[in-house]
Amino acid sequence: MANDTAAEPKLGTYICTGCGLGEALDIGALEKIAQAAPKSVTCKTHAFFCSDEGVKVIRDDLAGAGVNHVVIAACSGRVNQEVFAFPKEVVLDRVNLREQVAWSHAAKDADTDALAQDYLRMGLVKNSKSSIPASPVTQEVYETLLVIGAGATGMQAAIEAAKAGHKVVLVEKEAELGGYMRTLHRQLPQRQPYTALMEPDLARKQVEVKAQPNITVMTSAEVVKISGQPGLFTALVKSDGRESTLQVGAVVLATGSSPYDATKLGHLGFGASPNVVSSDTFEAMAKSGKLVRPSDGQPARSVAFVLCAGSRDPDHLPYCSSTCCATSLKQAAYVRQANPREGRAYVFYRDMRTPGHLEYFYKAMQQDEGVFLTKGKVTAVKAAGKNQVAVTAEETLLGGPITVEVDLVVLATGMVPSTLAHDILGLQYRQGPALPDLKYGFPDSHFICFPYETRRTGVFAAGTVRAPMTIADATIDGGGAAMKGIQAIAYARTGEAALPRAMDPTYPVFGLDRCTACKRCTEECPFGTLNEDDKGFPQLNINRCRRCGICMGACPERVINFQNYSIDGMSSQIRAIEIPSESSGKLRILAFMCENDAYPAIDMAGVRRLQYDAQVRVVPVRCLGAINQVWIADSLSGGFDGVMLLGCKYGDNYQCHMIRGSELAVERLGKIQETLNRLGLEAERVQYIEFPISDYQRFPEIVKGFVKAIRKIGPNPFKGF
Amino acid sequence: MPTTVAPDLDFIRSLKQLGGENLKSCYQCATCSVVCPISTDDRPFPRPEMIYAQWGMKEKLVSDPLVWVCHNCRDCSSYCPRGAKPGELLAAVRDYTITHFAWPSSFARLFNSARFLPLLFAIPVVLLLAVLAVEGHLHIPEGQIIYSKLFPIHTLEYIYIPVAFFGFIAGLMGMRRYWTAISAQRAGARPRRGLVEAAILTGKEILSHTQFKKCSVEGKRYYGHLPMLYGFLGAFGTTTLVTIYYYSGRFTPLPLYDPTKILGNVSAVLLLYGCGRLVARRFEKEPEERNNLPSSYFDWLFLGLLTAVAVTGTLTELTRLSGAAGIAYPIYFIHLSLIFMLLGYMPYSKFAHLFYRSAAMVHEKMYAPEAVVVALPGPPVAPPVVVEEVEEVEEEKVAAPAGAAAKAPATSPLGGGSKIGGGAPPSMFGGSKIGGGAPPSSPFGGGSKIGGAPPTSPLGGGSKIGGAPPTSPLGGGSKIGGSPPPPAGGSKIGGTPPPAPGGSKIGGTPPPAARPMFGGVPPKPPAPPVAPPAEESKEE
Ligand code: HEM
Ligand code: SF4
Ligand code: SF4
Ligand code: SF4
Repeated sequence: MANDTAAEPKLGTYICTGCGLGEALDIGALEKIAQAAPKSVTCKTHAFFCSDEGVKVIRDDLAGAGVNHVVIAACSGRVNQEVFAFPKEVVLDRVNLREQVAWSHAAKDADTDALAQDYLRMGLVKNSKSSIPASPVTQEVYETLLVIGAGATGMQAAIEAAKAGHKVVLVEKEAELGGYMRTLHRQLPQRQPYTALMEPDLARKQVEVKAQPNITVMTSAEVVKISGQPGLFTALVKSDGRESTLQVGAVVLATGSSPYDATKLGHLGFGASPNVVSSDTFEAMAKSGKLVRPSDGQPARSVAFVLCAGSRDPDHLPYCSSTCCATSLKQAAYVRQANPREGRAYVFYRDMRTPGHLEYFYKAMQQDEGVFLTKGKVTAVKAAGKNQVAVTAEETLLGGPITVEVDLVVLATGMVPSTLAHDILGLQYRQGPALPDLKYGFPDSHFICFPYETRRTGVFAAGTVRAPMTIADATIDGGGAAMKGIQAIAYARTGEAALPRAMDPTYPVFGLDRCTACKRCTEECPFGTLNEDDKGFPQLNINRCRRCGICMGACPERVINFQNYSIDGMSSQIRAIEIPSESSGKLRILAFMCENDAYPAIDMAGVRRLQYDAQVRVVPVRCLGAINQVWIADSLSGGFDGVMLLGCKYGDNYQCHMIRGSELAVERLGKIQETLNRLGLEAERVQYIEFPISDYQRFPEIVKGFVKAIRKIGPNPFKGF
Repeated sequence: MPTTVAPDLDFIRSLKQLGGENLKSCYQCATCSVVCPISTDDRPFPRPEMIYAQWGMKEKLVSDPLVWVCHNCRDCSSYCPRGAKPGELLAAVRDYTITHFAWPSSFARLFNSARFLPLLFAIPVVLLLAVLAVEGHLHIPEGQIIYSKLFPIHTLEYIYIPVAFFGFIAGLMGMRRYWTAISAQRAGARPRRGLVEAAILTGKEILSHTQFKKCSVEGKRYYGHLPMLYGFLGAFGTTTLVTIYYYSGRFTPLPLYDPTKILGNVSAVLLLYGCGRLVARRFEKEPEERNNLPSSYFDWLFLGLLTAVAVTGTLTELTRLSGAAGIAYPIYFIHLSLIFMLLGYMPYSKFAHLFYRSAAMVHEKMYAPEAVVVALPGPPVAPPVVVEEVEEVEEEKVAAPAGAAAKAPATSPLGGGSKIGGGAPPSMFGGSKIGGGAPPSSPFGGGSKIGGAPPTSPLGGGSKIGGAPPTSPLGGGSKIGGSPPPPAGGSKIGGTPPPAPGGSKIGGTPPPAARPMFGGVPPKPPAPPVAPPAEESKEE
């Protein structure tokens, strides 16, 4: 692999004896191993390496002895990062002797020592196979943010980015700013005590946007296509028939949603009478000051609201649109304000969902004597005479089916993300022009950790195009997405990865001379990083890359490597582990563990001093998707009795930080297991185990179970070959 | 057929004015139905009444017999997580009902607002003064104090027999209207008992005050209402006997050793004592976590009047004995005026509760289905609760035969009925600490964690978990968990019943299974029902 460091490697190994390591482990034996490592210039021990004095020992070696490769055998690499922070040219590796050896295994024990020694050997090998990326990819980037959609979300995103000093181009398809807000009569409360409706906050926002010198507004405009990568996007925008090319660093997609098509709600009476209308129609009626029955123009004194009209219905929108409950309560207030003495608003809900502060609004509306709420399933909405509509509901709180006769029925239609109708962005990506969606047209991201992110680095979805939400939430979303956009530009500028591997300066290097253009990497990269050239070879767009290594795991030719995470580096680490002879009765089990959750989990297990079997050797991987099959093959042919893959949940409600990593790992595992079977090896020797971070206390048990299963199968017959 | 509902907004406004101002706060969690002593498995109460009120369903509420079976114990109000005060709402409905069914209807208006109070006083005063003027007695009589010098007995009879008769007949008319209304609700239902049998049972219940005894928050009312009732009956009896004496030639004042006099004096003491306690209760401050007993004009109009009758009656006798004629005759005059008001206004004041409550109780005894008490599956004897899973609190590792449950077999009339007290296997509650499982060292379960009111409990929501009810003065201030029970059914789980009024009333009460109160299909109870009458199924 490419070794870009020019200087001759000089290794220093530093073995800490603090935190109980000195008492638990045979430090002398470790020192011998370190000293024997090629290129070793020094090996030192210290009772307290993370002390100022300890760090100074290392820094002195860097300066004095010219050490440029450092291996610290002490605590987990996840802690004390700021303490062991050395200049960028130093290749640093941390060997976890504390959490995963001394704290989780018997002290002064031959098996524990064997474990510690294996980990040190692995660390030394890995370090020797690592290098510093030749030219950190710093570059000139475009600092401008492109915000698509100028509703509550987009305007907020533009304002906040502008305030933070970035230029913004705000693209709006209508002739005016405001989006959904322009259709509103009143807005849900956003201030203490959250009980009073507000005038739509539109005019103030419009003025603020126009007053910002950093914001360029393009109205009646649409994005035709976007190409490039974070920091370096080129967007083609058509505005009033004219096309212009923009150079932007990041994109915020804030194109909102549209109401669900009420004509599909015949079962809830839409079409049965002109007096059955959808939520947005009713809002428009209120805005124009005409709360009347469409049939005869008489005032609508009694109005029934049917909630979840289409939402949470597998035949329509299977999800909760989140705001229709509150919106209906708001509209009930219109009915009551129009007619305080006799106005009646009936609200039939499935569950009254008024999250957050809206609970106060619900409570306030509940107090109104003319607002009648009940849980219930609306089973019939029929015209009653010429101007009335009868609504029948079953399973109500009133005990049985009830009917109310009203002037108007309002169907609380839900939200459909605007991206469902067309892709809007026109991304010139090998994987297609749209944002990959999670479900129902809402864009995919790691929902728990990185809600604004999408699977297109540098493109952030915010507001109701991302998930159903209120204006208040969408406004926060807009601000958040703008900040993420700015961050994406900054990472592009310094050549670092985006979350969750922020600050990682390494990147995949494609050995194109041996590439067969099989396209697996270009297809499987969850982030659409790779384009293909005319011949089908992968082209890296480095700023799109999240450094997950899934491409590396995919590559059958094994030509993709990172500077510190390579096919050869990992194979060498695996080979550095000593396999006990069959006669010793000891097993060796390799555990590939996802660095994002599984590895921290067992650090936690160590901190809590949970003890587990010392026959397991843990190797952290960037993602389970970043495991190349050759490593599994290597370990089995090298005599390992079993291999575990511990990582995040995949599929529905996945928790994989790289979105598809653990899913791909499992897919690929299926193929390996077939191969194993053909070789006469038991497929069960290799297993994927879902291991969320919260399950750290289960680790000893998991290991025990796996060891037991392997014992049942018996030792690896290839041992010793 | 679905019922067509047309809310009556004015009705809602009236209820709010009459003391049900929080009625709209109810969110139908059914906690009230779990704690109410008259609520049963298949007739949850008063959760449905709350939504009837919210929906302005006047007809439904004024003809709802349970509204009058409710003894205003306010247990519901003190547990309601929303402060909707169902107890107060029901009191408002009762006040409304009295006006609604009153005969003649137009009179009833005079009793709903203090505006008319002077008029109410003026009627008897003017009338009696007029009588005195006509009979030429408009001065303090000379000589020994003999009240018949002021109003001869026969004069009084001419006034009071018609007044009492009017009050009684008008009361009965209202009661009849009410009876018709509740019967209409149960049209077609076959009575379980005959009228006479039901009336006898009701009479026994009233005389023994069994229902009063089940009240917790207003548990002290029993000690006021019972003596007061007997005092009133005694006073009424005394008056009747005096009339009989009169026609047999024996005139008042009677000597102090006369049996009738003794009856009169004992009744007066009972009446005074009873009224005193009831009045005192209305001034009592409640612990912070629940509101004081609210007192409306309507409440005072009756209780105040009755107390005033008792006080003036006693003073009438005392001043006579003291010989101060200048004070005695005016007090007697006031006493007579008050009695006029008490009896004459009976059908329109809260006194009418006597009619409506009697009617409701009889009707219920005739028609209400027997309460079904469902035994939960489980070992017949409460197993020790071993709380082991709970990490944080080591001392909870106590194999405690939870107080309540352990007690249940001995005191529960159910004998082998299910004992949920502490007997529920801890697994049901996901390891949360339920009052019943509190170590014996904590007599009130005060330290027990109730927070875990487990929404996932197989016992359904709305569970009243023993230990320390939030309202209990002994409860150590602990609050039932923040999680409002989901509207999935209510269960009443016995915990450690605090041994004092205001505590939970349950002990070994078997929890009803999920209740069919939401119109949905109720989950079938897992075990065959044991069916003792509801009255007996609950422990005092
Ligand atoms: C027919 C049978 C009777 C029943 C079932 C009955 C029941 C009740 C109940 C349950 C209450 C409490 C309800 C509330 O405060 O709203 C109450 C209150 C009261 N009852 Fe009765 N009662 C009966 C007869 C009488 C009689 C004959 C009298 C006396 C003259 C009487 C005097 C009172 C008084 C003064 C209160 C008010 C207590 C207060 O305001 O705190 N009751 N009654
Ligand atoms: S490392 Fe991950 S994000 Fe980067 S190209 Fe490979 S698969 Fe794509
Ligand atoms: S006041 Fe008492 S009896 Fe009446 S509904 Fe409430 S709990 Fe039941
Ligand atoms: S306890 Fe629950 S159901 Fe009962 S009144 Fe309060 S909120 Fe309503």
